[in-house]
Amino acid sequence: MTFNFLLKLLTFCLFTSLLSCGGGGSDPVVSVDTCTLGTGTNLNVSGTVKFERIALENSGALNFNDITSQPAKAIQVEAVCNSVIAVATTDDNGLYTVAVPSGTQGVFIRAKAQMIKTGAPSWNVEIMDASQTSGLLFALDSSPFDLDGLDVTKNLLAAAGNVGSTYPVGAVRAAAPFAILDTIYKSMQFVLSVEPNAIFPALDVKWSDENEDGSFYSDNQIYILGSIVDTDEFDEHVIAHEWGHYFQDAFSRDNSVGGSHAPGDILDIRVAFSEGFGNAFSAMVMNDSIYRDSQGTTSGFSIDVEVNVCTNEGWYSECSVQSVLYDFYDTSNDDIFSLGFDEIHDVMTSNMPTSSSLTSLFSFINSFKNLTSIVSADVDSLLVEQSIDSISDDYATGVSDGLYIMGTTDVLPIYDIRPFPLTNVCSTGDNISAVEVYGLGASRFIRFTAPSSGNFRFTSTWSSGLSASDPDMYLYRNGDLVGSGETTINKSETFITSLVAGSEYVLEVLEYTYVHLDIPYNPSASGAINKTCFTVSRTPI
Amino acid sequence: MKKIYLISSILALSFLLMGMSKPIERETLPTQDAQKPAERKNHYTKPHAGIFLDYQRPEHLQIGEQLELRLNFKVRDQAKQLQIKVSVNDVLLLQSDSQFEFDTQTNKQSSVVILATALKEGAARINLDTTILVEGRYQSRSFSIPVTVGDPAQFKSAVTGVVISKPGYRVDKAQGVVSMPAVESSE
Repeated sequence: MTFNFLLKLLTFCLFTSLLSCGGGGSDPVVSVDTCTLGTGTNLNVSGTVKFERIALENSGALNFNDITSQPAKAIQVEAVCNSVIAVATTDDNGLYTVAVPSGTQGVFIRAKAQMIKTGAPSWNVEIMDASQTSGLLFALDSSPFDLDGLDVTKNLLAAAGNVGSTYPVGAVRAAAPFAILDTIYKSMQFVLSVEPNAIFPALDVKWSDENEDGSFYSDNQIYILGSIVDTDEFDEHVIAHEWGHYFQDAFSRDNSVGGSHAPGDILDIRVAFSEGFGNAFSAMVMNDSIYRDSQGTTSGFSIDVEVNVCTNEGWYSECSVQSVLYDFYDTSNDDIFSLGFDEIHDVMTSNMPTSSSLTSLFSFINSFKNLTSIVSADVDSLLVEQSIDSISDDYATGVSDGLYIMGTTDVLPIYDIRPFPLTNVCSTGDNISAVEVYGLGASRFIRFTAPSSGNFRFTSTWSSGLSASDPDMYLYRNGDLVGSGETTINKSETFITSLVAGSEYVLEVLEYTYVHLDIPYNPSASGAINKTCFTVSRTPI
Repeated sequence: MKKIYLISSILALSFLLMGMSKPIERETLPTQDAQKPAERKNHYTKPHAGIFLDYQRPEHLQIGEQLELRLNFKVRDQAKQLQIKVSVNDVLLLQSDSQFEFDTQTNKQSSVVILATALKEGAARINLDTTILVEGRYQSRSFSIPVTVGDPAQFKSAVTGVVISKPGYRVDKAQGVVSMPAVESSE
């Protein structure tokens, strides 16, 4: 045995080990190229790409007795012979055709979990493996085959991976990436129905059968749950809800701070609108008012966005937001609106992004009422059903707290317009029933017009409440974050930023502790129990 | 000399591989333990049932060791009933009850204690399927609690989130894909 041989052996071992360095339990897979490209005339390789979809029951649970094969629409298909030799895009029936030279041996068809379209409209959506650190795209491969003078049909099906009503350990759930793409395709088509030349910014979706970090949108990426504890690949409303966040972010504006939320929550106005829009949007895309979310393999969760009875109804309720938006959209006769998506789309894309206020039901409704096709009184009648007063501007001027049971001064006015320095700017944790819930009143908003151009120092100083207080501040101009103070200094926060004379700004003041630590949930009619107050100043420097 | 070089290389590479196999600790502890981030990151999540869970788990167990895990649940005001179903994967043997039910009309906080024994090395999972009854409708939320049994460097762990390849999946790095086998037909 020569040294060179041993060195080669070592190199091979190193290579294969690297491929499986996730641990000894995995099978190393080494790509071996064995394809020989033919020299004959081109032959057609055609067929369909489909995926299995497991339907949901009304409860939201997966229905393993209702599995259908559905076409993988608009996805990329490749013929691979050592490298990519032909590319096609499937049509709405999942059909593709690629040309491969006769005499080719060992070619295979690869359906990629990717939709690309250039021009107008355009999009680029990829489903990536969330368990990989290097960003690998999911694909579905045929076995290798030869071409010898005749066209070939190759139909590919991505299987759901279930056996009966379970997913066995180690099952390959090939359908998942294509099911997710299918819902995103429906969402894009829904937007294209009112904006035919929409340019969709590139979107990465992360999924894996181990992903249990939640289904959420963040920073131009959507994460979809895949762990068998909670699989979301067939939960179309969940996917459309998250895509709705992408839509609002990309085509409108979303000042929501996100976080955890549940029906009945009393939420920050930005969160309530964003989540209510997401729920309503998912029902619009799916043409199905029942939002369904399967949990594990046996149970589920559903919300009927058409139901107008909301727990803790009001402008701080995602339920009220979704109820109003869906009533504007749908054709059911429980209200006088049957508008479809046009007007909602107009307001979302044209009016809301330009408002100097933060995004909320107020900025949406104010713009909506200003559309020539809308009768304001009709809108007000819908709002009254949700215990919301008539809205006449983006800043909720004159709007009461409706049925809100806590002390009014702890949440109103929504935008404080007192001159600097402002005393008793109070953040409350009473509407935060769990970690990472942005409840109403945790953030307080100060609206002002810059008196002059130049640098200003903003300071928030504790005056009462938590002895271990961590105030934070965020400054927005037309919804864009232009300054922030997020240090951990006790009882004080400060930052310096430049202002433009005459411009409108909104300053958010927040007691960080309330949002990020679990505190007792204890709402009281006599006023907030968990309350920390600050004096907020603005000084030219 | 060449043999010494070879043995040294193998040892060095072995250590290198061990290092590369070391799991990356993901943030799975309850968020109360998390440090404040440098700046606010917005995660727009899906809606869930108003069920909240708080717990403190051991990060590691040894084979044969018993896990005693106290789970503190909190539910929304409107919840009338809380049901909890507990299951574990094959790394653990569940020794406590697998189902619990609480009347939450007056008391919104409930606790259960899970007892389980570590059977083998691996990434243990305690899975919780929880349901509340709100205004006549059931709402559910799932949780999964990870615990590592044994030396995490010795096995592929779902806890690590690092998986380069696994059975059924073919990694084609040159093409940048993770491919899965299709069910094929020609008609």
